[in-house]
Amino acid sequence: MARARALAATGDAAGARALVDGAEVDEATRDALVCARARGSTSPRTASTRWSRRSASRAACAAPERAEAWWLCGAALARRGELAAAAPLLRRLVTAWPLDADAPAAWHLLAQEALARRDVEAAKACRDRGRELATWHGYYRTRRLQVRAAPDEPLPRLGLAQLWLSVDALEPARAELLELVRRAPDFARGWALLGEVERKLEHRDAALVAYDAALARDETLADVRFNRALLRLAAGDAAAARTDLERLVQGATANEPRYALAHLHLARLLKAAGEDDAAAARYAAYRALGGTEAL
Amino acid sequence: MLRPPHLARVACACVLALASCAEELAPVPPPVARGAAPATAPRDDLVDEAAARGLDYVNRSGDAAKTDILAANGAGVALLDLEGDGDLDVVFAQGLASLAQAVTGPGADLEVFRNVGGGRFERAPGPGLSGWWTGLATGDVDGDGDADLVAGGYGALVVLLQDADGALHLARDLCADEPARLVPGAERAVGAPPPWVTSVALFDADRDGALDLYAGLYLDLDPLAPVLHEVGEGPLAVPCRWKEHEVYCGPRGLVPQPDRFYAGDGAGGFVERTRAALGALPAGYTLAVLPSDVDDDGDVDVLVANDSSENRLLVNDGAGHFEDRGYEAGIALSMEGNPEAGMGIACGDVDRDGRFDYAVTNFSDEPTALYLGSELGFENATFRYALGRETRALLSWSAHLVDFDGDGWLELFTTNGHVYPQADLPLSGTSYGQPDTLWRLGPEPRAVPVAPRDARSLLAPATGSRGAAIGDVDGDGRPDVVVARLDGPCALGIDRFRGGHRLVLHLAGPEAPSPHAPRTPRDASGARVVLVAGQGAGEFGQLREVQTAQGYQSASSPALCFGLGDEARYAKLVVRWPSGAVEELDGGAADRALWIEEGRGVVRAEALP
Repeated sequence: MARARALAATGDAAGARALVDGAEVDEATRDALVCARARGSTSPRTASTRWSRRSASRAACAAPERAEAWWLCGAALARRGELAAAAPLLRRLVTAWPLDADAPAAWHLLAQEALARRDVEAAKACRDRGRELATWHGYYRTRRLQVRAAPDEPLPRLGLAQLWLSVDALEPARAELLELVRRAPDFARGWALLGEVERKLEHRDAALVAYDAALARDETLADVRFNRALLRLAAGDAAAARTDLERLVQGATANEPRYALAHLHLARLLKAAGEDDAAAARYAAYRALGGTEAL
Repeated sequence: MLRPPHLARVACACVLALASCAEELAPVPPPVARGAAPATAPRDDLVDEAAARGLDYVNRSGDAAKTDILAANGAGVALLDLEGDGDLDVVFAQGLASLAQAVTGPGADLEVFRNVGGGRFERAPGPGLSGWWTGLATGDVDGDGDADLVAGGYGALVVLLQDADGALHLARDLCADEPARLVPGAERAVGAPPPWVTSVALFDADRDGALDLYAGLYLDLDPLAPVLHEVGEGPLAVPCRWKEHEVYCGPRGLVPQPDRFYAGDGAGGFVERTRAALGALPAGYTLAVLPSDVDDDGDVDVLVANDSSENRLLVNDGAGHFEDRGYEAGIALSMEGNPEAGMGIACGDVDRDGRFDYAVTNFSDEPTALYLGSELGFENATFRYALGRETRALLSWSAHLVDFDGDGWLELFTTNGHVYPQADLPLSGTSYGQPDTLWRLGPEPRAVPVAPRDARSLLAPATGSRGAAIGDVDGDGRPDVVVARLDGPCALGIDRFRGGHRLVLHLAGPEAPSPHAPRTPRDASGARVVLVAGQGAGEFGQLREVQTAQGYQSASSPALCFGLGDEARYAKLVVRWPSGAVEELDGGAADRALWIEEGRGVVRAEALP
């Protein structure tokens, strides 16, 4: 397949097709092969629209569980000017595979289809979603390039994980961060973000391990300390939580509204411990920072 | 609306009517009196006769290795009548041997070639400029009845007025007040990239009869500290690579420069009015600018081809204020929703439905796009016309929709050539040198390549071409093409297609302009013509607009060349002047050149040779 792709990239479509046609495939790779054939037939370098549509339709029928099959069929119809017929196929793609590499293009064609129906609002929504997703893919490609150029540099991989997080894709983010802390174990921000992802995945113990590692490398990471305090509270480890919270209500973060809840949680711990005066003082600080919850 | 209602209906019928006209012989162009243009020149081709006709321009465009992006973009060319003798002269932009020379000097001048008759040229003195010149625009900016020139460059934008002897003189330096402007040989500091003007266009944006100026700008390139090898810094730097080869950096990753708009006063003066005209239009690596009344509402809109970012359709509100409607119109992005490397733009009514269509050239692996005008915006017909397959391997620059073969249907001409010498390395799927290309787009609605007849064809050599201008340089009524090639001699493609009756129109606004706007500029910029020919089921119409800015960094002749196929007469001409006046002129014999002035009809007619 790789050789066929390389041949196609050089313009030797016939050679690529011959390789693909002659390939011996098992059941597992059959669908990929069908899509590869269709991809080849829709390549602008080789395509006749009629043939590419037929080939792409075949791919969609043969491999409906593959995102690219829906894209290929929708794109082939769109190139023939049949946007209305393409729209349901493209909608299926963006619904079932919202982050697929072809999804921005699918949104673009859906916007064009809405424009053709003179549905300006729908067109605008599709356009905006497509642009947003295209921007995301642009950053994603750049980060991958940077990771490939410098695999042990932590920042590009951190950026990659943040991209995944920005679309709530927690597992891919976790995978990148695990690789990051393996390659750069002293990079505190990597551990910090890994803790955040583990927390969102409700892997409490793993999150605490990551937070511990982050703070061991950089004890000024206030967000990490606050989140660790919350996790410790949830785990019933009031003493450990109190240590983190006391650290937060002193020093640089003492008067930041962002950490107002640290004052509240500490006030509640103090009250539970019978330290009413100290609890009242913390609660007053919480209210002074704009907090409204009851003690 | 200037569209005969029957135009679309008759288009199909014309397919049959014209099918048999290919062998009809038109008058043979006169032999060239001097030089080596052979009597046995091949027919049905664009024959390169540059050397034989005295066009000995040789382009310089930086180092051969193309280590910076300025070296890759090449020069434009302009066709204009410099002496009022009725024939077309040629002005080429010129670059320098290296980016360093742009700082140290000496700078280059424009190169001027006078047409001494019949399309033979002699070198003439340039206007005495010093710079690295790129884009050229033509138009009568001072309303004195002759064509003037605007030249853009790397670090410069100047207005040149034509005097009574046909010489061009520097009248305005529009970058004079900018500290970052580039003056070869003058001291400059690091960190001040000069304005880099690419394509420029003269047209009347506010219908006051005075030509205004749109200047497309490209990107920040500091000649003293060009970005090399990678963009960005430290661990987030991205290497400048293309298909695994190290190449020059840009445009992606470099800072785009915003386009500019200058209001003309009709006397050769210009005042920058970018904010008022373009609002907060985002910068976008502009390479080509084409004015055209896209929405057919009587004012001139602007199409902008941007490299690696969205193309723009700047719709004019009639008072010279523009709003980008490119996305809604369907021309901003590729069919897959990606911004492409827009290089050049062509305008013409490809399918003869009375609406203008546009072709936009792109990078290799991005096809030249064809947008057909429709009731609502544009219909992307790139793949239906097989331009995906035809153009995918080409990196194309200037684009022109012209009826070279005179059959009444437009052909698409593009200049081609890759930006990276590394394109010749294995597995690139393309090549550095590429031949210029010509496709017939009608009567069958698909791109049919026109093959070069022999090595003398303009379409034969695999070189690198950039700017191109269209005009009838030898006075035979057939459009020829001048091509500014990169790092080498220019080409002059003489139209040697057989068959097809012709009609050439020279339009002019009134000598004494109306005291009230809207007015027609003296050079009739923006005038729109429908020519109707044929009868009954064979009737067809052709649409043209007087605009010189088209292609890439170049200015074509304002004359309108029509091919009539086997129709020896045309039925009528309808002219919509920018003033709003519409004149319908009676039909007449083909194979003539007509001079038409607003309010006076045909003021002169000559038979074509």
